[in-house]
Amino acid sequence: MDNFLIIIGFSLVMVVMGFIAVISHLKSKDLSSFFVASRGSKWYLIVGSLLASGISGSAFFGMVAFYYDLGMPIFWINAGIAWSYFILCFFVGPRLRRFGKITISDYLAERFDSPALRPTFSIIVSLWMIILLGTLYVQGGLLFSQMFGWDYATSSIMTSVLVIVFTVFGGMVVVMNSDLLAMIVLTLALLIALPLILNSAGGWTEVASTVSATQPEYFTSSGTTTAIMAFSWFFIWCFGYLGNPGFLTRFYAAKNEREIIKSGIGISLIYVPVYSIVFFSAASAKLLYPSVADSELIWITYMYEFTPPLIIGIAMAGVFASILSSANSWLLAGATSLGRDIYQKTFKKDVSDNKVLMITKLLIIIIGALAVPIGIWRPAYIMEMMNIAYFVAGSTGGVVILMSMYYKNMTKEGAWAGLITGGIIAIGWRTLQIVGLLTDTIDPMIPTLILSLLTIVIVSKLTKPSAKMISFYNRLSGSADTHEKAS
Amino acid sequence: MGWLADTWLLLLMLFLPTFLSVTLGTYWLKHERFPWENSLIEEKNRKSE
Repeated sequence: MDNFLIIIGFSLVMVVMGFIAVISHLKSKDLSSFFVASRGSKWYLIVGSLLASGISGSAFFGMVAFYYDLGMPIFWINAGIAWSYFILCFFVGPRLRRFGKITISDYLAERFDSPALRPTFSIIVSLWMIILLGTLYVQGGLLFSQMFGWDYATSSIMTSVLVIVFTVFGGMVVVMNSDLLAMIVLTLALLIALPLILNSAGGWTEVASTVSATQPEYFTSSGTTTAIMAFSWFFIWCFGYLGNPGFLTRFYAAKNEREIIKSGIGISLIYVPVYSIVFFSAASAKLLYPSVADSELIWITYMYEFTPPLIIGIAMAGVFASILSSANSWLLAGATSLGRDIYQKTFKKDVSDNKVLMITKLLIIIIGALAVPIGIWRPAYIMEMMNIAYFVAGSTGGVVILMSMYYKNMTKEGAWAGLITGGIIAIGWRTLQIVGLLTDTIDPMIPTLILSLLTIVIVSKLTKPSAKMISFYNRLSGSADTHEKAS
Repeated sequence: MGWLADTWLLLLMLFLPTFLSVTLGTYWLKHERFPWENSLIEEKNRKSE
């Protein structure tokens, strides 16, 4: 009976989500619907989308495990993301919306009058999108194997198939609409589960005192990690989100700048409370299950033990919906970038819109398939893999994109130097750490960030921006002109 | 709740974006510009005169 109710709850959400997806798909008329949701998204869709993609299954598998194992210092990751949302919605998003194209490579190529930036950035984007996708297949694999008793590899492959089908038929318009549903279901599941698990653990005071006694550093600022490591997490996730086209392209889909500002307020009010609930649940689980073999399964374990079956089904569907929504975003961002920026803009300039759409969908299948081995292999903790992906994203895209928007005299050479320096140091340092030639005690994020920033500034000072670059910059930051006219 | 004092910097970094988003966002929605953009606009207007 319990299993039946779980399946009913799961199916209920999936049917609603499928219905929304079909309706959104039928409303899609052209290329613009597929890539940027016809640029008509209101603030609540942007909030839902940013939050659902940011949370994904990683909150329920990766973050819960990190909170469970290491405690409060993990909030440095959330702090980084909270700052990133703030910068994205107030300082980056409005300018990108004003630019109003389709990919981030489009923006970089025009900002620096350098067509070669387009394919280069696209390839970088696609590479770390594959890692991110791999982490999502891990999440789906864990979810389905626990729910239906399938073996892990089959569950992971099943996730990849569903993700690819959903993205091929959906595009951005379906992503934006289904993300909102995922966000609502997830938040409700968290809100319902928290009192049940807290109650089972004897209340928050009991949790705080017991966990503090067994792991004294659990509720401290840096815990068992160093302060440098904690700050590194902050910068990895802050700049990682800033450099992730999966988030940045959301702003192209916004109806106008006003909706982006509203979404900034909305997400700032929701994000930290949602993760606080995840943290309180993880800390309670620490008391209820002092030692577990696989901490990435702790959320599923306590949900199955302490919540009613129907809620379990709905919550699992919410997690799957968020995995699907994040995967859609990453896959769409990678494939769109390759399809448009490399195929259309570099090789076949006179190709029709329909052909670009077809090529993009083919690329969705290829990129989606390339991430399958990572999903099955499960080489590390979800959060460790995500840390690497966001580290590369932040060191390459994040720094360059942010600087390009607020450093008027940044030159093409400066952008290239920043991209190359960030990429080489990030990948090189991490590789040397993995093979054991460099110590793990120093995280490369902060040095990479400083060197990348310095390189951009020094190279830009030594070269001169072209008139075209300055004119583009002025157009992008042209709010003053707009307000003058308005007043 | 001694742990709250240990984590003041972390909590500050966590909640400051919320405070800034609400205050700056509300200002923007009212004036359609950020506070620091006022001086830029005045300067531009002065130049155009």
